[in-house]
Amino acid sequence: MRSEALDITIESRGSSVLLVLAGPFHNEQIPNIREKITGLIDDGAKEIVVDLEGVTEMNDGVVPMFLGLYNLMKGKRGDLKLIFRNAVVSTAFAPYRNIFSIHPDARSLAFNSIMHRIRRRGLLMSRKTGVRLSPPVAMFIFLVLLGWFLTLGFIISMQNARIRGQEQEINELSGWKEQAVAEIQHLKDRLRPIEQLGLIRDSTVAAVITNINAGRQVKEVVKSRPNIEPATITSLEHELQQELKPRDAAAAPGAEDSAHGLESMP
Amino acid sequence: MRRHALALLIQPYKNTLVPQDKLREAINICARKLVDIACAYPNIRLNLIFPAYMLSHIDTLLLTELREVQKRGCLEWLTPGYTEPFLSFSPLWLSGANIRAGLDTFEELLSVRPVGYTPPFSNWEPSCLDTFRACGLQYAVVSRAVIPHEAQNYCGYWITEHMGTHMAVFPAHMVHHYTAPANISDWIEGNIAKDPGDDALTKLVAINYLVPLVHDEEVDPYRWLQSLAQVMDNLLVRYQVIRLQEFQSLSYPLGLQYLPPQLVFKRDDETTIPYFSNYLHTFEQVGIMQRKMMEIADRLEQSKDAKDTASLIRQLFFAQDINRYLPAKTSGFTHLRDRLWTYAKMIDIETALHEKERIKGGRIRIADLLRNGTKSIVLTNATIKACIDHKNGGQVFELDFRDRSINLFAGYAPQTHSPPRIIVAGKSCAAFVDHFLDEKCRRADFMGRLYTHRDEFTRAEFNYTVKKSAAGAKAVLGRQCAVSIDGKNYPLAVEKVFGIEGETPALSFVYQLANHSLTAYRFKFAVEFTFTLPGALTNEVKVVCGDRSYGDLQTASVDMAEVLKWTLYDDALGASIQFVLQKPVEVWIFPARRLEEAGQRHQGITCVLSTPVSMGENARWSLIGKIICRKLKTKGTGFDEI
Repeated sequence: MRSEALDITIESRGSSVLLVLAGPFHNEQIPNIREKITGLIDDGAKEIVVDLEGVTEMNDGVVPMFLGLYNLMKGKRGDLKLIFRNAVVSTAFAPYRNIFSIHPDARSLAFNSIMHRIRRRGLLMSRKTGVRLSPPVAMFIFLVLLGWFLTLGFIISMQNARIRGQEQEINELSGWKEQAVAEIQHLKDRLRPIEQLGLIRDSTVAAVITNINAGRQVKEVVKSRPNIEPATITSLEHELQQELKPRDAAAAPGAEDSAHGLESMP
Repeated sequence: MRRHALALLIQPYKNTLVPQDKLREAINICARKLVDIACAYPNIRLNLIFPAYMLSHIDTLLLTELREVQKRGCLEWLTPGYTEPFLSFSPLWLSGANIRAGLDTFEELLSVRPVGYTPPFSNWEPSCLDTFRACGLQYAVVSRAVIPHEAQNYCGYWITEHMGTHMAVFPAHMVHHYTAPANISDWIEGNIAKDPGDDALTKLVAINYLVPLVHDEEVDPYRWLQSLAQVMDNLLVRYQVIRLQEFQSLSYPLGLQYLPPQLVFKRDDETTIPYFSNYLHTFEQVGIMQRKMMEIADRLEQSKDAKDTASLIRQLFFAQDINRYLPAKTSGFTHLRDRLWTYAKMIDIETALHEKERIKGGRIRIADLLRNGTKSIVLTNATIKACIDHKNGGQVFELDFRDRSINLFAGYAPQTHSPPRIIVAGKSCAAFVDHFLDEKCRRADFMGRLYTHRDEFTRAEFNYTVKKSAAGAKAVLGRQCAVSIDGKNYPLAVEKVFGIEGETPALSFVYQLANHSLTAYRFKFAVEFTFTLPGALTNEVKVVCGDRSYGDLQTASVDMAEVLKWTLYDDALGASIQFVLQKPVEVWIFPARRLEEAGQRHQGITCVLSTPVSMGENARWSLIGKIICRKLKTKGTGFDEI
């Protein structure tokens, strides 16, 4: 019989009731289906999900029936959601697409609103571009991209921390430098009158002479032996400095006296 | 003189259910015999027909030996599929999957992919030709009986074509050890002589020898095979003993033959039954089993490529086995064991699917489950499934207790009902069959059918509504009718309610009768159930009511008066079925009466709840009860069988 052509399945899915309809949906079946859904609403169902994916034919009276039921559900602060993707049902519901909450499959109902939007957007994009990704492939690509972004973020944050450290070090050093310059200046200012009196001699001049002499001798050695290693040059330099120090000290006797003279000053 | 060809096809078969160890032993004996024959007569070629699942039972060493014989070119493999699918009763994709799985198993175990197909019972389906070709099959072997009568004497092969696809078909002489000719040489020559075709062509006599894997002790089916091999070896000068595949290069086909869907009911039969499907559907159980199988197949088809579905599909291949759907002496749907085994396989798959879908609090389905144009109401939860036929008196024709994988109402009525409608009120052996009887009707009267029905409710169509809540689901069936008392009709309204609660293994029921007239009347109201418990076959079923216990239910009858609660225990199954009522009733328990009449083996226990009802003016009467199934420790090992 035509009035019995539709297969009906009713089951509970969490807080909602899922009604699956399959087969040809003729006008003769409208009272029967309306009665069943109204019965569910009367029993206190707050969310009814109707799966119409299996519907193969749909008469004109079906959509108005769903509009009526939607109105009834809204009046009772409930919600009526529809699931379908097939051409027959999509065509019938096209003028009311923005009224009903329509989902492509039962799984999409389980997602939260953001995921749901993404999914719907994805479906829309897939329809526009014709490119469709299976969930595992999409998940794989998503994970790869996420991995890339996480790695990039990690590198940036690491570099940032390093730059900050270096910046802090520069600040510290420049502060120390300013302090040292100020201190040297202060000491120079204090020494200047004594120097002008000729009581002390600048010891830094003797150190420069020592370094210059050592440098000259090292250069001669390097010229004679081109394959000499830098470590050897450093040690040679050091040895020469040690050697030249007493000679230079002897060449500038006032330096030691000036130091003693300073200590004895009031 | 032209050297004609002989093809020896050997088809081991197992139509009865056998425990796995016995089957393994039988298959290995068979394989050993075949290897011995192949080694003893190296000049003859063998064509072996094996369902692929049997190969996995063969010892590895024997498989290696078979592979060696195959390498010598002495062996060709043919197959009916992974199991022996009933092509006419199965969805096309499932038959295709079955055959494909069979070919894959051959490739895996023997490194060969058979190109020959042998439909079991020569169940030819032209619509499957595309599927056969897609699987890589090149020819089929059927009984000679499938070929039109006037073409049966031709010795060779035909080309069959359907909807643009064609395939070679080899008609074979189906030979059983008790129908095998004594003088083989004369028999072969007689067949060649009968061929009215062109003598210039090489002729072929194909002998399909059916070897029962499970056979009587005193009969040795391999003896005739030995002698046949010996005769063929002696005839090698006059005949070439070939592999079937070779014959296509030796001779042209005889012509075109359209083969309609048909079935050779007995393996050695010479005739076919063209309307076998109609005949089979005059029994209810074969139809219910097939519909259940198709419904599961439809559910599995949606996710057939998923990894976790593959094992379920393979399990369904066994439920597709043709041997379970044909009535036979030792197997088939007429045997309680076979029915319960098939149901068990399917219930297991349904349970797995139910778990996968994560349905909570039950489900109601109103669907054309029986695919006969009328809807059935199906109430399901995780532990129980009840199928209600509102069209035929609101009977319950299936009650699955999932924890024990059993259909408790798999009763079978041997009387056929025509036209074929699967379930026919009053004839089918279902449960919740209502009777309005004479007040004085007793158990003996009921058993002997000495009562008169006072109503038409048993055959009546009920209106129905369904209710679903978070706690459970229920179906309400109602009908306005009349009872006939002393030649007068009195109005009576009957309401039957069936319900399931949450995930509990219980089916609750309510009967409410209402007299809307101003006349009082009395009758006896009875509700009949037929339980199919496997333990009854081995006398392991007992009824316990209070401190009383009754056994031997295979033959004995029990009367219990004024009872509210009683339990059926089946130790073999490992389950109990408890009845709990709110009103005391009289209970009659006896062996399923319809089967007694037909003189068949015990197949069920009929249980009748009866109570006198007095309906006053505008009065109402109700009976509320519940059937609770529970798991017990099991002693049975029957479901190890395949």
